[in-house]
Amino acid sequence: MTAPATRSSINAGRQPLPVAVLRLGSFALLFVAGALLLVLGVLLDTRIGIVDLSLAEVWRALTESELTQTRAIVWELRLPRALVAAMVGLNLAVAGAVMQALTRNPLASPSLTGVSAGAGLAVVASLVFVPARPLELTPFIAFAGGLAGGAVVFSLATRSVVTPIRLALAGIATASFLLAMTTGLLLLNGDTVGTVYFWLAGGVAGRGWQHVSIVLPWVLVGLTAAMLMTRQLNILLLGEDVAKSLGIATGRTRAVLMLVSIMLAGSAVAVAGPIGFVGLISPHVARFLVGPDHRLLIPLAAVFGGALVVWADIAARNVQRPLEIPVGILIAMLGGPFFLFLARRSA
Amino acid sequence: MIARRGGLTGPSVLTFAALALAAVVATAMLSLGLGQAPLSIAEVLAALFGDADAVSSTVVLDLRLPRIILALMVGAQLAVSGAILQGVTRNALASPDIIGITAGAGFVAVVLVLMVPEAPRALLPFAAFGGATVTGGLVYGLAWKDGVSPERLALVGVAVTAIFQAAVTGVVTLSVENNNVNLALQWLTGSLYGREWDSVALLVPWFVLGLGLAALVAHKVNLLLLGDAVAAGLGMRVEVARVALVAVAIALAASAVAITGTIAFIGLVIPHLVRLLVGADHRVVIPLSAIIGAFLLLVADDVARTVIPTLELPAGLLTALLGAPYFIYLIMRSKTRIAV
Repeated sequence: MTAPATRSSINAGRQPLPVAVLRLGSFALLFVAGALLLVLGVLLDTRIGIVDLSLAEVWRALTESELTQTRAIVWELRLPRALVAAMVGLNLAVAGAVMQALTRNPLASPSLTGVSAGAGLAVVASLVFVPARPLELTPFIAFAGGLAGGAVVFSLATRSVVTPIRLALAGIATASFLLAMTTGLLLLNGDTVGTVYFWLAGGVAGRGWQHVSIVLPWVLVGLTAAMLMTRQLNILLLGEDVAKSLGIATGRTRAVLMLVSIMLAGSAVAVAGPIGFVGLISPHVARFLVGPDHRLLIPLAAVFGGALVVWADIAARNVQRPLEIPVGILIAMLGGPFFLFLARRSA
Repeated sequence: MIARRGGLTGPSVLTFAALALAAVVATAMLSLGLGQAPLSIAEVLAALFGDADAVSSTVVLDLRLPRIILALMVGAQLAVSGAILQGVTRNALASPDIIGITAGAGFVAVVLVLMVPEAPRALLPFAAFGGATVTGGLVYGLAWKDGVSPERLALVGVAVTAIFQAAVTGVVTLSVENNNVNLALQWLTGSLYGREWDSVALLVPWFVLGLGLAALVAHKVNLLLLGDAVAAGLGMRVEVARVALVAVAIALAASAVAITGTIAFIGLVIPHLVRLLVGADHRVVIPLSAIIGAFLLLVADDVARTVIPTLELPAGLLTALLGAPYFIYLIMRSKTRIAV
C-alpha cells in the first residue's frame, strides 16, 4: 500500500543543519502563535458575553476571592467553559492526527470513522438507562462506545483495496446509523426534538469545573501517549511494508494508537457531545504549516484544535445575543467546506 | 432489449406488481386500525363508509387516512426519484438524500417557514424545488474532476448535506419563533407526524405529474444506460433527456421533502431491491419502485408510531436505522456502478 495523499513526503533521512534549524524555528514560531491564539481565545471567551467584562474586572475576579457577580460569571460560568472548549478541541485534534496516520487516510477523523457517534450513543444510553452513574465514569463509557463505533471502519481500513473515500463513506453511514439510534434514545427519554438536536450538534454550554476535572486527565494521558509514539506514527505513514521492515510491530502499535485516539475522542465527546470536523481540520492545517513529522504536527494540531473550538464558542455565544448556537453547528459550517475541499483532493 | 438479470420476467413481473399493490392496499387498511386508539377492520370499514361514531370517524378519516396516503405518496416519490437518479448517473450510490438534493430542499423550506411565515404553504414545494436544483447543480459541479466518480459524488453530497443540516439547525436556533422550532427540526429527520389533508392536497399534483412523467420517460433511462454514444446513435438527444430526467427526479424528491422533511435512504435502497428482483429495465423498475417505496414507507411509519406505546418516533429514524447498514454494505462490496 502506498503512502497517502499528504502534501509532502517525510524526509526520513538527514536534513542539512540550516534546514533543520529553520524547520524547528518556524515550528516554534507557529506553536507560540497557536498557543497565544488559544490563550487569547480563552481570555476573550471569559470577557465577552451577555455581560461584557473588562480585562481589569476579569483579573480582579480571578485573583480576589470576594464573591461578586462578576466573579461568579467568570469563575463559575465562563472560565471552566472556555477551558473545556480548549481541551475538547485539543483532544479531538490529536485524535484526528493519530487516526489519519493510523489509517493512512487524510479523511479520517473521529466523526468520519463513527467513533464520535459511537461514543455519543454510549453516553446517551448510559444517561437514559443508568442516570445515577457517576459523572467521572462518562469518558470510560464513551471510550467503549467509540471502540464499538469505530470497529467497522478501523477493521475495513486494514484491507488494501479500500480507498480513503470509501472509508469515509462507510464511516459517515455508520455515524448516521448510530446518530439515529441516539436520537431515538433521546426521544424515548422524553427530550423534545429541539433538545435532541442541540445535544447532537455538540457544545460546551453550561460546562463547569466538574467537566474540566473529568476531561483533564485524559488530555494529559492522551497527549503524552501520542507524543511518545510520534516515531511510530511517522514510520506508519511510510506504508505497511516499510514499517514492518523497520521493525515496528505494526499490529500491536496500531492497536495502541487506535486505543489512544479513541480515548482522546471519547473523552471529548463525553463532555461536549459529538463535535465534528475539528479532528479533520486541525491536523491538515498543522500539516500544511509544518509538514507531516508528528513530533511537530501533534503539538501544533493540538493548539490549533483548542483555539478553533474556543473561538467558535466565542462566536457561538455572541453572534446573536442572548441566543446561543451550539458550537458544533458553527464548526460544521466552517468544516463542511473544508471537508469538501479535501474530498475533491482525495478522489 | 434490455437484459433482465433479475429473477422475474414478463408475466411474473405483472403478477408480482399486482401482488405488491394488493399488499399496499391491505397494509393501508391495517394501518388505519393501528395506533393509540386501535380499531378493528370492521370499524375501519365502517368509518370509511361514513357509518361509524364520531370518534372513530375522526381518528380514521381526519387523522390516519391522510397520513397513510401521504406515506404512500412520499414513499413512492422518493423511491422513483432514486431510481431515476441511479439510472441516469449510472451510480448505485445516487439518491436524492445522498446527493444532497433533499438537504438543499429542506434548507430552503425551513428558511421559508421561519423567515416568511405569511408565505402561502403552496409555495413550499416550489421553493424546495428551487433549493434542490441549486444544491444538485452545486454538488455535481463540486464533484466534477475529469468526470464524476460515484464515490466522489456521494462524498461531496454528504459533505454538502452536513453543511445544510448545520445551517438548518443554526437558523432554527436563531429564530425566535419558538413554536415553529420543533416543526422545523422535524425536517431534519423526516416525519409524517401530524400531517393532514391539506398536506395531501398540496402533494397530489406533484405526485400525479411527477410519477406520470417518470413512467413516460422511463425508457429513456434504459437508453442512457447503454452509454451516451449508443444513445445518441439511436437518435436520442442525450443532454436534453438527462436534464429532463434529473428535473423530474428533483421535483419528486423536493416536493416530498417540503411536506415531510428529509426521510433518508428510501431513494437509495428501494431501487436496488427492485433491480435485484426485475433487472434494469426501467419501464418496469420505476413503477415497481413506486409501489414498493410506498409500501415500505408506510410500514416504517406504522412501526415508528406504534412500537413505543406513548411515543411517536419519526419515520425517518427507522429508515436511517435500516438504510445505513445497507449503504455500508454497498460501499464495501464496491457495488457502486450500475451495469446493464
